[in-house]
Amino acid sequence: MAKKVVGTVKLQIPAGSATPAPPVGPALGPYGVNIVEFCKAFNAQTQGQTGLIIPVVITIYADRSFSFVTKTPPASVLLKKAAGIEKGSGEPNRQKVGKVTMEQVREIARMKMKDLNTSDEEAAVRMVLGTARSMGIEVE
Amino acid sequence: MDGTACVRIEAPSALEDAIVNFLFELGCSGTRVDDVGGKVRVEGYCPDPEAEKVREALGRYVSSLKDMGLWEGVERVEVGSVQEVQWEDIWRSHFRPTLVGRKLVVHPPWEAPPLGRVPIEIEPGMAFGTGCHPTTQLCLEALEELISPGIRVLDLGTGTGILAIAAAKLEAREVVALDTDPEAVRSAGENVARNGVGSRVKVVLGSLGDELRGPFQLVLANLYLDLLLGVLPPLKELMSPGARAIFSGLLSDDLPAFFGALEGAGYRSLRDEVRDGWAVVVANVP
Repeated sequence: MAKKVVGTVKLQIPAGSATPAPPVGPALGPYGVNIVEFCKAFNAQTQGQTGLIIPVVITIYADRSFSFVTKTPPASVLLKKAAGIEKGSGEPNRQKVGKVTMEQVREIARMKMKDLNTSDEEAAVRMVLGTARSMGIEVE
Repeated sequence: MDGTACVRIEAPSALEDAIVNFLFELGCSGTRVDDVGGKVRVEGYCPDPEAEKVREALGRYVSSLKDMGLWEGVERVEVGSVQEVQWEDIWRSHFRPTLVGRKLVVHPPWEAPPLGRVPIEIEPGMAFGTGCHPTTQLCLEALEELISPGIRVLDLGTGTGILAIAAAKLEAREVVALDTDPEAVRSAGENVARNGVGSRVKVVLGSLGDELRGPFQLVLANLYLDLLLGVLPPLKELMSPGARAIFSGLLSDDLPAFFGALEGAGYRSLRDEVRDGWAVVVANVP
């Protein structure tokens, strides 16, 4: 259990759909991590969240064993869900694609606070507002 | 089958979630994010023929963000192809049979062990103890030297079960293997079964405070300093007079503090060895 960390890797993978293909293979392969084992464990842990993109941080130890932590879906994905839209805008300066309320923004900010490692709700709200703007989602 | 391309962009950290989402909407199957000097580098993976389309769309998206004042400076978008590799198999090249001490060999399931050694088959995964780490090797070497047939052994923090399996294969009568991590207990259970020592190794989810009946003639504890300091007193109660303990997971810098605690708890240190900065200490209970 003498766990010396040799690397960490952050990936975003659709829930329940990790495969040894990129990005998983090229990210973990060079460390000698058991890729199939990671995929199995990730898919088992995220199977209830089908359709969502799940950020995952994988820690690799000196003997090539590993652990991982899954995070809350990206704010962008939560905003699309809240706005009831499939896609964000590819040209957010010209094309707005949806609306959310300030209350929805706050709710997302509270969900993301744990991952952002902050207790500052206002900072999290600013982050979510910035993400909304950059996707062409208006806040009323 | 078409190959895979990687589209890479460095972006302001605040835009991480938006860029990741945009890459998925363009058909990427997954992304990787690395922090690079106050920014993030985002990589999206898509089929080769799609890569140019993704690059162009990303370019238009960034121009739009610049118009809105959300992006400062010049963006760098790169497209590269990803080498076609059977990733399912390639990581395995890191695990070869490893000779340990005079008698043992640790090998993965897909490699046959050399003849004439006691084989320990370990499937590398999420639990610690693949045989690749100096502390595991130091413990196995000490175990080989100290074990005698028919004794009872306790393995604290068993991980993959590697030390417990080795003890059983070196003819311990009974081995109790403890871990507080359910993933380790699952992994150890599987490795114990694949090594055919299930009748003599009992893998238990839990810690020292739980119901555990001594006495043990040999204790293995490859943990780390803080955990070891905590277990020294209760562990001693489970050891028979003259029993030995192998402690590892210690850094060489930890040794002075550990020796102090060892003596304070009534153990006698017999020998220690350091390899690549990691230490093993063998002690007994007078």
